[in-house]
Amino acid sequence: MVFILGVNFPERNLVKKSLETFFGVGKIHSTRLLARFHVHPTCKIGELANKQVLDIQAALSEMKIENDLRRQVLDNIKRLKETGTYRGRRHALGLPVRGQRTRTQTKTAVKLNRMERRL
Amino acid sequence: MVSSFCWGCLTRLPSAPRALLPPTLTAQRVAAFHTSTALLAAKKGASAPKYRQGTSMTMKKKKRPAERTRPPAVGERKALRKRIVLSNPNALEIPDMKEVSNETMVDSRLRGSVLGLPVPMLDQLRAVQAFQPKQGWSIFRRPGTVVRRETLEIARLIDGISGEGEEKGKVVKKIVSGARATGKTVHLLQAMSMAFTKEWVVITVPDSQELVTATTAYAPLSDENPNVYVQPEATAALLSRTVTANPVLSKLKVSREHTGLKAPVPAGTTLEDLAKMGIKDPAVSWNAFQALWAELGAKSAAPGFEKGFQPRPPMLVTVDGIAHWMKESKYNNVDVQPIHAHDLLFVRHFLSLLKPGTGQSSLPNGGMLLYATSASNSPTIPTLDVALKQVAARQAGVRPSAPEFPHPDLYAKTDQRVLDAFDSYGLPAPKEGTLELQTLAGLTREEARGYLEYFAHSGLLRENLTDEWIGEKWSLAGGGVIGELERIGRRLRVNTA
Amino acid sequence: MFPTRALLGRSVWKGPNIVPLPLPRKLPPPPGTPPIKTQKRAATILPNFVGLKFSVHNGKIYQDVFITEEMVGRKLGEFVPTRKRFTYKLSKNK
Repeated sequence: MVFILGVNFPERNLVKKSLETFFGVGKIHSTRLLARFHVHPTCKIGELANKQVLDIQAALSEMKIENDLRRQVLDNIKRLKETGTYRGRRHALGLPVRGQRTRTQTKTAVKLNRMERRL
Repeated sequence: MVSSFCWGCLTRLPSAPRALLPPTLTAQRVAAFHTSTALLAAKKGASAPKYRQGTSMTMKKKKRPAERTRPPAVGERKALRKRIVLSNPNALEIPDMKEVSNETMVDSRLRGSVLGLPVPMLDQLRAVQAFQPKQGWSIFRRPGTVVRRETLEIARLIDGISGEGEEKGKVVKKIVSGARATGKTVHLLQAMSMAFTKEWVVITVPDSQELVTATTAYAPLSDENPNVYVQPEATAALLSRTVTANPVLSKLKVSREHTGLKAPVPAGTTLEDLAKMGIKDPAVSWNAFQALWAELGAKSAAPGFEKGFQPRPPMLVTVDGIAHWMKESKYNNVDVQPIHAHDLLFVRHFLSLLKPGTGQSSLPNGGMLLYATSASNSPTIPTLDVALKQVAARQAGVRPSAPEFPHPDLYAKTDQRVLDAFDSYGLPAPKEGTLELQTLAGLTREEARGYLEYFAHSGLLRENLTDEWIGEKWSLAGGGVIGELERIGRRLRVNTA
Repeated sequence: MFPTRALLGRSVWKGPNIVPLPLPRKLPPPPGTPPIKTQKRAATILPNFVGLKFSVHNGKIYQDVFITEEMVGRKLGEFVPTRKRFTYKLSKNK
């Protein structure tokens, strides 16, 4: 078991997939992180050297991920609403924001578009 | 004006019974232009299909019982896939089968016969992964290879290099190429078996693909950019293969000081122990490999190390499937750009042997480089094809300035590094041969006969081996392509007589 | 990673949509100045609009918009909805 940013990862898991469990780290960012610290894509958590773990942790702590990122997204929606823009209004109404049709099929928008967006 | 005829009265007329009506006007009698109304009308009594509803039979899908078994352990499936069975107790034993030895390997009378591999050598050959899983070793009593023209050629070279004549200490460099199933990998195996017979040091890379698919660890050598990269795990694996396969290493002692390893190497350390330092700690495996390589190329001992210095044996270096090394690998550099395979130190080392530079020798104590292409699992690299054609042209004596010298397509993307890797320049060392291209093709008819007779002796083939029959099979096998011949030979026949 | 979201909607080489608008000569405009009446909903709000009052057409009437700092970079039309929320009105007659 290896701790990365306070999360415990089992040793048999892939490093790439483990990094992608963080909110805000997707395929692109995980690939970049691996390349930066010379970790091959099929590396398991258990095969990481101590220094590499520390490096990855340091790099992750510099990035805007997890709760910081969630807060940023919510703030952006809030700002749109407070400025009085059309997009902010659509968020508040729970309707599609980017000009999609509203006659039918707005389930995703109804589910997601709201002021306190679920992330 | 309103018609006096009342429609309502007409509809209220009692309908006559069917039997009373004249039969001429029924639907079936009249050849109707459309048939669908009649057909539909006939079925009206039964439940007629509704609009767009087929009357197909509906079958319930059977539910599969959920599998409760555990998935196999890590590495188990790969081990099963890579499992090599070298013996089949059901096959007949051939009593007068000869083995590879100092005498038989150069005996041209044995051409076309199958030489067995000596049983003690099998462990060594397994250690260097000379056998591949799908080569059909498991159908015979014991592994053996057919002696063909190319085998004898290489045997004579190996014999000459390790002999005392003028060929002694020569370096032969060959690229083995050829169509699918023409026996390129087995050709390497034959060379290895002869080298083991002559107590050479054999260093092999059986699976070149593993080095470039980004499945082993890699690390930059320094901080500069562009960089070169070491692969510690792969190097440790190479060292471990080399140590297991070459017991001769335990007799040789170090001849100079080595830095870069964790502990200083005292005089009197065997080369085996030197290599084991790298196997134990992959972090220094590349340094250990370099030290081992320098030791194997040593001609004399440094002062202080003379005690127990023995001349180094010649070396055989084989690589299978070099096409994988001629493109960008799957590794990424810091800028998330793919690393070219030639930037991996491991690959670079083996490719640099092809052209050691002016006045230098790639193998100072002599030996042989055999690099084979693969036709079954290999990427398409047009530049490599051109490079190999250029090697063949140079071998034939065509000057690079001549018009018939092959050049890459001007409109295609050319990898200059690939061309350079095979481009020999400068004056070679005196004993250094030039790079040659050996293209394997099918067996001759006589060799094919010997090979198929081996099947017959083993009890696999129940045929009367006439010249006609063998000629037919030889043609069927694409002109004696050995892999196809093997397929024909192992096809079981039930005797109808 | 992205330069800015505002640039993504329109290609960068085009730049913002600058529309000639009758801006007041004197800034800030003296009180009592009528709002700037316009139909140019696609006009980008420039930094010198801040503090002005626009009267933007919504297709039917002109609605007043007071430009604040945060609106810079957006379009005038974004702050004036063109559609009315549908509400069901119970009809009495018929």
